[in-house]
Amino acid sequence: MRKPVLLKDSVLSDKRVGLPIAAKRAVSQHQQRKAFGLALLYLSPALLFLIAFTYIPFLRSIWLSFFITNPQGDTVRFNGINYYTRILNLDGSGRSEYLQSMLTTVYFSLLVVPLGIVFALALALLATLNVKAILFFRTIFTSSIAISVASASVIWALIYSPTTRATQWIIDLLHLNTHSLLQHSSTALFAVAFMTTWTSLGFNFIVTLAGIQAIPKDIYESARIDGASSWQSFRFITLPLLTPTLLFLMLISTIQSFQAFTQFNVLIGNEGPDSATDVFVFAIFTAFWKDNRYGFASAMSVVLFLILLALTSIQYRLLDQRVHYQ
Amino acid sequence: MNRVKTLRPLNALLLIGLVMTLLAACGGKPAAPAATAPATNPPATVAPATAVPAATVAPAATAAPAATAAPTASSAAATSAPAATSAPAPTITPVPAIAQSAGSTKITFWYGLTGANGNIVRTLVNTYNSSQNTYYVEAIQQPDYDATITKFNTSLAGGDLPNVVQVYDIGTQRMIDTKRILPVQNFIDKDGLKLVDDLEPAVARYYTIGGKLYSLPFNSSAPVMYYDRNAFKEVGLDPDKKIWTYDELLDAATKLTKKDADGKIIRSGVVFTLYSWIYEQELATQGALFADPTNGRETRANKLIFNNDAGVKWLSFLKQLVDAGVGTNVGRDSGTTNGSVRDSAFVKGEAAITFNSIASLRGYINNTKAAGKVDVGVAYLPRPTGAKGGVIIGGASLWITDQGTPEQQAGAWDFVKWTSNPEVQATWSSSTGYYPIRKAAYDVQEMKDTLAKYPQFSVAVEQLRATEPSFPTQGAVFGTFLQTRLAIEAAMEQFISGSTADAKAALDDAASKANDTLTEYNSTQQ
Repeated sequence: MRKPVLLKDSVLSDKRVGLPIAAKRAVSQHQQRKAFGLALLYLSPALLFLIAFTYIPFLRSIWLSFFITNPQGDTVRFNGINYYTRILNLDGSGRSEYLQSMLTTVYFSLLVVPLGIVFALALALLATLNVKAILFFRTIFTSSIAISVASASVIWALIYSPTTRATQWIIDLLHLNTHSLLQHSSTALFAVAFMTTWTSLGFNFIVTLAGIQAIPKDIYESARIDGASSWQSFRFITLPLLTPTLLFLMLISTIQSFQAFTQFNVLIGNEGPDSATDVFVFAIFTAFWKDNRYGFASAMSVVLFLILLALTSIQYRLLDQRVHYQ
Repeated sequence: MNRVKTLRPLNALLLIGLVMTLLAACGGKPAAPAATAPATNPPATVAPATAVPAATVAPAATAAPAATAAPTASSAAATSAPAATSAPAPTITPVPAIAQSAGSTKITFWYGLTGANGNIVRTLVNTYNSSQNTYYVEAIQQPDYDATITKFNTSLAGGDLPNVVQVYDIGTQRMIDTKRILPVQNFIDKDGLKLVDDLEPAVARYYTIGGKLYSLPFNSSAPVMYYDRNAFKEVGLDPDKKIWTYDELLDAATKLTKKDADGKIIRSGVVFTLYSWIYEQELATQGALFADPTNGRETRANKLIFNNDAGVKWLSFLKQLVDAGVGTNVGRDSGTTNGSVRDSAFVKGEAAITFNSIASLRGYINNTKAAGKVDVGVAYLPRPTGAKGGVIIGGASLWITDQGTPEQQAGAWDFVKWTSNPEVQATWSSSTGYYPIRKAAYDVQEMKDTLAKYPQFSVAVEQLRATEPSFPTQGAVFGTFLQTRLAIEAAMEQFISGSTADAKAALDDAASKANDTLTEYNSTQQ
């Protein structure tokens, strides 16, 4: 809302003060329209792309979600909100696989987000140590940022593969009746979550390190003069001043973990043992590409959109409240 | 109706875009590492991140699994009938196409075979193109069978269809439902050819729906049981026995399982993937229908009934193997690379028996030759005592579309007909591992040489010819085969892993899911 007000102010503050008020308003309205047109012109390249590739598909998917489509993607029959009731298990079928799939996504998030942040924080603290060749270590800690999720998944597919036997010791340790951690319903999601944590470590590390380095050194110095131990400095200085960064990381990681798809597709390739890794995005993928139920996939996308929208707004609110200013 | 029609050209693009962009829109915005000022971006700025998920999702969907591991083609064959096993994908240099001669009519041809087999397709097309000047076939490779039929469907609206397209067995009903197909039967009748009589009968039956041959089979395979003859001899089993019942095989697997001093298994009796294609075959060996009525062969199938006794028997057999510690389950097959784990276990002698397509034969033989430990034998698929059925073919066929001018359509038929020539089929079979679709191909010297070199190969053809024609062995046709296979494999996994104690319950659940999708699909086809 702020921008139009500014625009109006600038129009009103020009030199035509002597005109009658009605005329002034007419002129200003005319100028406002002109300014708006100009703004549209400047915005048009970005707008066109957004409209073509984001807003039209977005609106169309909402529209499609109310229809049954044939394999060619034509709408065949109006379906009302049946797809939505099916997803949310309100249709009386008693089959809750899509709600279950949402829960799986939440579990995955709960595994990936805290783990990712704790690891990143630990590494970032290590990287602030004043030792020789710290740059070398920082580069190593960052390296996973340069690996795409797809490549990382291929690497980890080999690690988990029963032919390499790299993770056989874990299977033996847990006495699992399986040949691969990815094929047991109790370990599959953990295995993918661990790989995801590793993949996102580089990015999380950089952000956390930047956050730590942005904390002024003089605070630590005065704390040391007051006799604070290094644990106390961490607990009472680093951690509180780092909360904005950590909350920001939490926000991004949560959204990313809700959107995670590539690693599931490469490592598992289906909904997993007992649907253990059937995260919601994978269920959408299955509905669209394997089942060719475009209307249904659209309805699922809309549901996911709404969930993420709610989640994001909650997190933003948290973010606004919990930020510690110096 | 008209308004809906005008929207069609955009559908393909928009539908693909929509899911991706939605995901991006869901929360793509924090793309920049704005670590110190996190709360400044309003939640609606989706622009910068739109491309990110789209870019990471799309290529991974098709390319990544293929690259994951292992030297086999099992992921390309993922959801369809299998391709040959040992295609070392990365080392293949594509055979270049020859130039179009002036004045020839261009025919476009999509094919879904990749790797070494894809190259042989290109070589065949070059042979055809240089054999005559009237037509020129432009061969366009697709990522795999799944992608081929998806692309075909999304291209229907734009009208930019190929003249000829190779589609896998389970895409048959969907191809008919596009209503853009010219059945090859029409061309055969017009030319007054006796072609159908010389086709391998089981293959001809598969592609015949409602009495009409819709597409011309090109690459055909069949399922077999592979075993290590050396291991069989070692434990005193008959290495030449062709038909094994479940009970006999369980007994054999027990004898074949070898443990070391610590009780660790060094050779498992059987290694297998949870593979719907084999499940379908086991229904056929027991003469059970997969879909009702009549496997969709006379009228459209409206109910999937694969959750029957025959299926329970097969699952119980697999479970018995695992529970007795003489069988190794390496996980679901479709869409995964677990097939390569099975193949590797078999060729290394870590398991003595497995079930797979005959198209994998030469891969197995070539990979076992070096070590000299395993002597590959081929037998019929196992069956319960007294089962009288047979097996269903797998593979792919060539479809002619109504796209283009009459000359192009005539050219499409000319090319398709040419691929069924005995000489072409003999070359194709000898260089790939699929069996010829023409009986006459066995008279060609090249084919005779191949059979002399791989005598195991003839067992597959023998098994096929021993199969009595019936609806169960003809194979099911319906529009949602791909997702049904996924549901079946999920049920197999639930039961074999022990999370569902009752095989029937697991299969019932799969059938109910698969029927939902089928009912919806059928409702869009009226």
